[in-house]
Amino acid sequence: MESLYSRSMPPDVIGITGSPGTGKSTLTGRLASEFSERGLSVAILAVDPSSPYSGGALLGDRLRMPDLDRHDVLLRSMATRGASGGLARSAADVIRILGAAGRTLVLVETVGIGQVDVDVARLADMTVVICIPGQGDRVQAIKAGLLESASILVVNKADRDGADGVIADLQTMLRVTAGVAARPLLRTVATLGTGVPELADALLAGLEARRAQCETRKTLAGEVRDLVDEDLLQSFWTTGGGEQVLASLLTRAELSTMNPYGIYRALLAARPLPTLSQCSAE
Amino acid sequence: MNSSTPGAVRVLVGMLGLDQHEVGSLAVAGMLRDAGMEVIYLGRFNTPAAIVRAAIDEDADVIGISTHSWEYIEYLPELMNALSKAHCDAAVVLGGSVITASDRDQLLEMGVAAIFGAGSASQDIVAALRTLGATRRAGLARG
Ligand SMILES: Nc1nc2c(ncn2[C@@H]2O[C@H](COP(=O)(O)OP(=O)(O)O)[C@@H](O)[C@H]2O)c(=O)[nH]1
Ligand SMILES: [Mg+2]
Repeated sequence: MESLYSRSMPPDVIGITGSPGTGKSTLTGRLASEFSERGLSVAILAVDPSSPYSGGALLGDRLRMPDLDRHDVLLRSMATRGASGGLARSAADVIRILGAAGRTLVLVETVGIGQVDVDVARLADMTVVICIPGQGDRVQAIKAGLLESASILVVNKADRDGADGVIADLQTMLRVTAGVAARPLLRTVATLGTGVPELADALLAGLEARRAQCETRKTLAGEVRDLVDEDLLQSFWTTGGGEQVLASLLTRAELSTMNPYGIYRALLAARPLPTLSQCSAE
Repeated sequence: MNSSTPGAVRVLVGMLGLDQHEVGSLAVAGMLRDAGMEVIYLGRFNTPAAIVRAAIDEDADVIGISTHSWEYIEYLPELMNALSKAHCDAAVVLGGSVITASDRDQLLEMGVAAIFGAGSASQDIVAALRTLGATRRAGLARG
């Protein structure tokens, strides 16, 4: 397992979550086909709960994705096996294996209930949270906390009555919840594929933005490292008096017995290495 | 991919061709889940190619085909051929109400691991699948 981590790039991971029956599998299958048609090498990891009584599981997501063969999408079903922390670990391993098998994008469908979901969602670069109309109380359409974990909100089954109401509610919730106002809110009819290209666009744009952020972070890290290096050198040689000590060591040393390592050790003994706290960064 | 724990047998359950009668395969799927197996349910209208693909993607130990029409006579040889071409070592098990004694012999000859008629006891089916799963896992562990 460990060797895989060093050999391959991790794939991009998109989490798709929502209550049971909201259309996660149907939408995941559609999205996978859409990405595949755009030339991406896609895999799906579909996670379903194990039975708490027998430990067995009925993994039925494949049934909702009849289109995968035509698009060379790899689908792997996985049972939660009761362990939430352990699931996240083995899901991470499976994602890595899919990456090593050449898949550059992995869609993870999660059960939509509880801690398992939160754990798995943490593996994702982008998370789609699905709501549908007709779930009784309109405001219940989205559970507390889900809004914050969503990168994109989707109202699926938009062909049904009440879709406009759910959209309006979500817009209100986005407005009044701190830090989430800019979340995209899209509507889809997964069974027909309506809205799927737009969702794919939004997801790819989100992944791209993340990558750019990552690049920015790397560049910044590099620049800070340069500053530290410069500062340390300065504080050793100039402000710390390293140059002077070296010069005096060189006048004392017999030219014939001069050995850089010996002089180096003598230099360190006279001038201890500076620590960062001694540096005077501006 | 061997991300599965050795414990849970992974079984594909599905139907081939245009066979309509799903009640039996749903019942079997539930029964296997309750026996502690991980059932990847494929439902109706599968081609042999789709089943092979699913068996490989899902690292299935056993492929359970439920049949209540005569189509199996045509599809089973195709499925067995496709599996061996793809080097897929999942065991094939057939269950259903319409399998005659002479077909039965031919199917076993062809490499089908077990056949269950309408009157089969569920504990016999479970026991057979457990053995098939354990045998395949042992083979994988040996490499
Ligand atoms: N009317 C309508 N039904 C849908 C839509 N998307 C999914 N469904 C149906 O909703 C049911 C549950 O879908 P599924 O994808 O299995 O949901 P999951 O449990 O969240 O994975 C199935 O019968 C789907 O055909 C949609 O956009 N409109
Ligand atoms: Mg599902």
